Amino acid sequence: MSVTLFGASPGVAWQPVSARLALARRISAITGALPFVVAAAGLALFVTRWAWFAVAGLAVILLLEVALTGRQVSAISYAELPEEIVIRRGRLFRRLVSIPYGRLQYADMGSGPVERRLGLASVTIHTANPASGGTVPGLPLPEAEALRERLTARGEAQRAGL
Amino acid sequence: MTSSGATQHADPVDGLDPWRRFHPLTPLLRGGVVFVGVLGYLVSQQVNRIFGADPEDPTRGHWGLAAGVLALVLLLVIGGSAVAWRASSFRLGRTTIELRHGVIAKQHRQVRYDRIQAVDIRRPLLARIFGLSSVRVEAAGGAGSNIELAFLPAARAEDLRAELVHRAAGAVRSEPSAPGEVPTGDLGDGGAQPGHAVQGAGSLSLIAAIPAARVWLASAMSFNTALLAVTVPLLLGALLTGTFGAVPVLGPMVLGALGQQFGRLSSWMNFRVETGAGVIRVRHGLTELRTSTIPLHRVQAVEVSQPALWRGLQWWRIRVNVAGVHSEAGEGDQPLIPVGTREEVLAILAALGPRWSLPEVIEGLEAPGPSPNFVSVPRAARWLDPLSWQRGGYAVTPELLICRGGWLGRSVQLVPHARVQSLTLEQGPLERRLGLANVLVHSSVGAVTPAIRHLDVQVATALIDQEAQRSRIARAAEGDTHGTGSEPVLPESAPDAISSHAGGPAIEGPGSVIRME
Repeated sequence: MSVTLFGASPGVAWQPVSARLALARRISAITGALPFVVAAAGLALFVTRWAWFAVAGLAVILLLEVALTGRQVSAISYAELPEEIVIRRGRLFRRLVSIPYGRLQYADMGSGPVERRLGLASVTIHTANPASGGTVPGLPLPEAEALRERLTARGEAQRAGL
Repeated sequence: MTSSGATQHADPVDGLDPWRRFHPLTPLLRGGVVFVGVLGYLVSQQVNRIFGADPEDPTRGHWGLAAGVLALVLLLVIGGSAVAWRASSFRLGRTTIELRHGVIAKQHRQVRYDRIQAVDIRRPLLARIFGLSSVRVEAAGGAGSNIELAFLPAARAEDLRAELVHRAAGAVRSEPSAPGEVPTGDLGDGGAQPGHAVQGAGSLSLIAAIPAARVWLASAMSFNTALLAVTVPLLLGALLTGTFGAVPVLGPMVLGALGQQFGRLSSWMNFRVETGAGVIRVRHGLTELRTSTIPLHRVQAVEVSQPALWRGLQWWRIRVNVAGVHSEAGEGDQPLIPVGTREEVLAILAALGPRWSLPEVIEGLEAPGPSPNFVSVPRAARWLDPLSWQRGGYAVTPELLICRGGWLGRSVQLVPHARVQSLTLEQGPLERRLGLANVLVHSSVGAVTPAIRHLDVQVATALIDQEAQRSRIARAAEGDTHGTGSEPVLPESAPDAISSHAGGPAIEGPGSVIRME
């Protein structure tokens, strides 16, 4: 059993996160960018036509973001191994973090307004070093709840064994 | 107590150690002087405005009133700080050190001896004039769990520090058999007694002292100096030729570099490293003499590095991560030795313990390129790291993972397998093209962030896997030997740390309990 940075790994069951996370992220991106687009458009209509460039630029960035979100989300996966949880993300910049259950200090559940509407939540793993934790985003609520409980239980069991 | 300032009064409720007060000058030193001055000024201004005095002559007509109000405010401030001083006290309990303070909102803070990470003595300039020191107790669990005992007469602070270090060591040693119990020999004998409690303080031996000339030369041999050498003439030129447009750019650069340079000088002066009884003690400082004591078993990772400009001089710097000592205001970044000779560095590594001073470490430091014990990075890495790719790599010893790297300078980072928090493997688009990946080894929070860059992706993946296994085995082995007391476990992994974390998010550190009364 060995994990790999990308793709399938022998003997490891990689769990994808919910595809609805892409929807949630797209909605967040659009609502986040909307005020700026409106402001730039207002500027273009009433002040200077040059501001249309800003509108176009923002639109292109937004479109790219929306288009890439699906691929970003499908690149996120996690695996619960006997001794550690491994989380992978990223296509262009790939990152894999492997956190032993025994190092877990506590696990958090969080959910933004859009995610909550879609019934999604993220589980954040905290260790003694803030840089060494990890987050599994976009899990359906019951699944996130279950993962958090499993993590906490394993954390205590394996730490008690120290 | 023998010291003049610290009074004591017995606590009638429990027959433990008495609560002890701080030195009466404490409120004054805690910024009282400035506070009184500023307040007095503000009040006098207000008085003038309210009673319509001429701003050109602030005292006209209302001089007596202004003085009266000022006196009243002074009296209030003095009275207030006296009350606050009366309300704050500390004591050494059986298993904890307790600090209580606050008049209206009372706070009671405890730190268990077995959670103490380091005990420092600080002597700010003003306190030094009055012969006072503060004792700072660093505990596991972050910023909220440290306590500062300020101020005490210097000698008493020294005794208290020794006593706390002693109790902390005792508590950790006895933890497996009797959790949280202090060895009976130290119980109930009234706390810090001079002469009795100086374990560790008397048996220290000097292993390194930095001469002032080296501090000057070492801080001169930095990029900062090069920056100054360029920017100062430019700034002078700009001022002389009247091109003031350049001043807002150059001015801050010069000031920043000068500030950093002065900070180094003042922090590196009088640097002494001493060792003994399971601790390393570092004293340093030009204006403010600082002492920090690092219990060896709390050391999580070590880095020995050499900035590029020191290569010819064979000077090195040692930095460590210590559990629980986080970089509050840059404190955690304080090196064990900022600039040491090869001999001093080897002596400090030896003092850190046998696990840290291995032939592989010296090999990692000094070998210019690939060397027998190190797994090297592939040739492809030269595209990303043309100058020093040959130095990249790692070595594995029974206890340590040794990461080697550096760009213009050199560095070697040591992490015990049992102290690895988690592992990260990362790869950017260029690295993917070249078949490379980086491995980040997460230690505890601190100045040392071990990483091995540009490994072959297969090697890196295998390393992550194997290191996770080695780390697990090492932790398990440590758990087994724990009962014999050879290696105390870490606070964050200590069994009794669980109870304070179970169920909910751990906002408080495992070491301290803060409750409002």
